[in-house]
Amino acid sequence: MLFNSEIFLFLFLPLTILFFYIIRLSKFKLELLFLSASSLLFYAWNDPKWLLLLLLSIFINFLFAHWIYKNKFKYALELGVILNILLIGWFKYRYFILNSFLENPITFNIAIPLAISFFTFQQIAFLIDIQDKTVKPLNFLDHLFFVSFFPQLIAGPIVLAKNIFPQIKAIKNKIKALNFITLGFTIFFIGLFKKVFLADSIAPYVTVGFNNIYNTLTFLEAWSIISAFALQLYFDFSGYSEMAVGLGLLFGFRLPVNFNIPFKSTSMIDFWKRWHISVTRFFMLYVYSPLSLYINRLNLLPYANSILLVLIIPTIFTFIISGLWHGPDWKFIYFGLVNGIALIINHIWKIYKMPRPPRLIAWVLTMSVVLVSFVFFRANNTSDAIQFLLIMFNPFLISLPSWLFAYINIPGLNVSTLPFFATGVFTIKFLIIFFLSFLLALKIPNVSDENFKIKYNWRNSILLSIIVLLSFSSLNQEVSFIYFQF
Amino acid sequence: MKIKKNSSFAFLFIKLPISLILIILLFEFIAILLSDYRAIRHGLDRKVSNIENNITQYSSSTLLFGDSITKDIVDDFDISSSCCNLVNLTTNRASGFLGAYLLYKRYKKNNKVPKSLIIISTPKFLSFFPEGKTKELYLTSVFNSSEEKEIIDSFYSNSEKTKIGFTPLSWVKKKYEMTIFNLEDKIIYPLVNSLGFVNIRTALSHGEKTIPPLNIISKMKNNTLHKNDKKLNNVNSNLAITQKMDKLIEEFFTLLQNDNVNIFIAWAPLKSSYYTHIKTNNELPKLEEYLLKKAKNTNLNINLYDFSAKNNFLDNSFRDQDHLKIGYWKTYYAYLLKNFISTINEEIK
Repeated sequence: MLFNSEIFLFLFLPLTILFFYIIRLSKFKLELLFLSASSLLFYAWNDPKWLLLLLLSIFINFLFAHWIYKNKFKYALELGVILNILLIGWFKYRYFILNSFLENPITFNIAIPLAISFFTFQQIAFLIDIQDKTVKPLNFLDHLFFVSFFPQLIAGPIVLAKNIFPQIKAIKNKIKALNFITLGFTIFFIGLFKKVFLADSIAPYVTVGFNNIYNTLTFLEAWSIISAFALQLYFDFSGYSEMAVGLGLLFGFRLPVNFNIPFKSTSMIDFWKRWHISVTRFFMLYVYSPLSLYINRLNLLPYANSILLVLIIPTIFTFIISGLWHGPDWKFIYFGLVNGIALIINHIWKIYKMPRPPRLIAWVLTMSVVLVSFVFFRANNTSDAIQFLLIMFNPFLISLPSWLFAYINIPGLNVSTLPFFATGVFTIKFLIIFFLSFLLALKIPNVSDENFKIKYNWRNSILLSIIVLLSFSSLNQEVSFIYFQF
Repeated sequence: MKIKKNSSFAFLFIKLPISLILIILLFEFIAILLSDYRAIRHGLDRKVSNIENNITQYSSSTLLFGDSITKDIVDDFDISSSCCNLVNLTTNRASGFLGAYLLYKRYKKNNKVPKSLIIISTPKFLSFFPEGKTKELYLTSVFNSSEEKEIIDSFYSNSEKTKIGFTPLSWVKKKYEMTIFNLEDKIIYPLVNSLGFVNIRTALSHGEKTIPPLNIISKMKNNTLHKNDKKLNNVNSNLAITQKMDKLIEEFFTLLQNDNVNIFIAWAPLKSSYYTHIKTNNELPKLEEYLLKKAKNTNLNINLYDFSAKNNFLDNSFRDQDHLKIGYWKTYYAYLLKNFISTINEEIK
């Protein structure tokens, strides 16, 4: 079930809220049981067969959590982590790994279990936290709830046990009741607006652009398309994350922030503090830091540079893993590599105290690197991405669209029918949507932040009404351009 | 804390619902103010708007219908001949032949019956019936009088007509057609139209570019073919004569016969591989045979022509599935089109 589906908005969510608060106001402590059951229904709605896998993963990790805590056997943590990696490896990466060794790769179209990357990594983090004695294992119902709570189950934010356990306790003790309902609704609808109104309005333009990679796409078109994709991805994912945060609040839970106005970043370090924060934090805490520490302990300093050991190797490794986490394809590894290398350069720049470039130049450089990495993220495969990048970095591929030629004639500039800026109406609509989205990407505050406050006045109620209505008007829209078929 | 909670509940249960209602009403009010202005989203809207507003009234005229390969030329070049007014009713394929039929009916309401009607299109134009969103965008929202809606409905089966989701929002959207759910068509486009940003004045006229003589056009040829041109595959041909198409052609031909209009149908340039395919598969000859038979049954005098029969339009003379490349090919087709129209006008005389 998707947060932006009608079945969720008009049936599942109202009923879940209604029954939750009936239970909440009663003397029965059944909230977690009810929310867990609802979450499993939510997960199983479209494809029930993976429910068994989810339950199996939860059960195995529940057992390992207790074995690790009680020191049942020496390598319990290692075995638990390996089992989780095997599970995700089998379901998500088996053909990718196989193809890496084959001369003639086989084509595959595997169905990846919904949310496997999220619930697997969340539980790996949980097992490591137990080993570190940061948290204690839970009873089965609490563990089931911690993993399956529907607002964060499908696409995060990745919740750490230490953050959610006190909240589970509070719910059990009926401490919080109705405090956050209005705020939860507000954040949810802002997220919904970002997803269905903004991201889905940009999506068809991006699709058209990437469908024309080999059809004489030009320099300016390529940069416009990838910039539009960056906005689409941001609104899509941050919208989903905000819906999750809003939903969490509706049930009295505060889920972590996932995005913090990332297009304001003026460095790669800054960008990764603002983009997909919960996953970045996961990789920082559970991959980068342990690896860096491990290499440090190996005492290799006499043989290699410290920057190479504690910065370059762990960063590259972490970004390769985080790239692969997005999907079983080389293009995601390149996505990770571009970001990893840029981050290393940024750190070295800081370490050697090189002069800070002016803000605007820093912003342009940061965004350019981000956009280059997004080409790998969005393209269908690596060769498409490289073709797209060749266009992006060939400023001689500039042509005036033939429709504009009637109004402007720039001597020396080619005139041709452009595949993306094909007609005046299309181009103007694209530019309006693009600049409006860009402005909103910078201006919409980070509503999922704990410090975000809303004044319950008429102005905000009008604004929220517009957001709600525009979101509803965009639900179920066919995200494609019918104009382009003809 | 108590006060805060109360204000948040007042916000959620009082202010927000009132604001929702106010905004819905405000948009409805704006939509009513703009209701005299049509949403101009594409060429077909412009043509209908021009006809509706009686901007150009034609007395003696030749109507030119066709899909985008022809529209591409007619919008740009002066292909008229001196004898008659050539009214440009070319559209793109999205509205299909049903759109052409409804456009003809609209035209007739505000203008005198034309002398002749020329259709220069790909064969697919005749068999294409839009579905779903395309149907909504190019047919039902353009031809929206009750009579036109009835005509459109008569070509679609019940299951196609009532594709309304059973979920509450889809139902509300369909049932009440609230402005807030269709801002683009009910406010934004009419507003743009009302502010005069859309030129509907020239919607029915042909372009102004003069077609150069053939020896000049021929010199353009060298620059048009590149070995790196992407080969675009043709979609599967679909020239089967369906029940809907049969009904539409019968109705259209009967109407033309009653109006005493001469009709000329010409197949616009087709990619050579596709043309060979539909010729050898007997699809095109069958379609032609069917049209001649239908015309005979309705006592209509029909003339068929084929641009690809005498001219080879190489696959890479097209910039995409259906449009000729700008430069030599487009100009060459304009040249052929002008000659063709002047020949027809001679015949009519």
